[in-house]
Amino acid sequence: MDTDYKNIGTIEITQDLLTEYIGAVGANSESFRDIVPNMLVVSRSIAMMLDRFKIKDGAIHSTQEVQNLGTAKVGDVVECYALKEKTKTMKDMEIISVHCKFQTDGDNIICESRSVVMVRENG
Amino acid sequence: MGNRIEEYELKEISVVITQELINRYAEVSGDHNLIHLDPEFAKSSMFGHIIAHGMLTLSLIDQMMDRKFGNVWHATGVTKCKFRGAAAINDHIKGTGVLKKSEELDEHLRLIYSVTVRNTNTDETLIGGTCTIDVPKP
Repeated sequence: MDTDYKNIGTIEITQDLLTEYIGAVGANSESFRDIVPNMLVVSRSIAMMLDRFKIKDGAIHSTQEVQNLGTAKVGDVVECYALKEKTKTMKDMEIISVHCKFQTDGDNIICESRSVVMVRENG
Repeated sequence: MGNRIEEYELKEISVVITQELINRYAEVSGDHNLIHLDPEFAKSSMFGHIIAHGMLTLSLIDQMMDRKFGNVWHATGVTKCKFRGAAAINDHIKGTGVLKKSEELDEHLRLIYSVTVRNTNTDETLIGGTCTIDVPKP
């Protein structure tokens, strides 16, 4: 893994987590049969990213990219690596872009994402 | 693409946003940003009220692609979306997708969809973008 990327946390993929995620996004039985959607790990990474880069409450998610390269399975531990790419200011909003890579035990990159959030500079 | 267009049509998918759904999503994602959970805090935000997590609304797109393409989506799919608005409690939101382009690759067909999530209560577009997937040639 590129050393510029910081490990921001791990996600243990359990059946309970998968079941909770499916319920939490309002999915029915037609969705995500026998699969762990990468959106689950990307969703978890947003909170990790906000915490790691000390992004304030009230941050607004403006752009999301997700590139699927494979999937995790129940029992896997997914490592999340993040790179804060750029921060710029527009009016009173700080715009922060973070690129993430998600890797399973076997060193497989299952997914990459880029999240852009905006936060008021003065809270 | 002739009849193949119908073969690749996506079925729309919808959900009603509730505080319970937002709370469940906050728990599973670990995203406890107060703009999703605290009415007083949310009043002071640019929206003036509680909003659903962007990734919760974006999940409609992922579900729609999953239902159509299953494992292939999760192995090759690319989502690029902008959040243009936010869903509030009691909003009925609907994800839709239209095939915009297909490209012949060596062994695959690359399909590019224009995707949106709309608030059907206000007709506002909440998310707009593209989903790209490589499927085996028929």
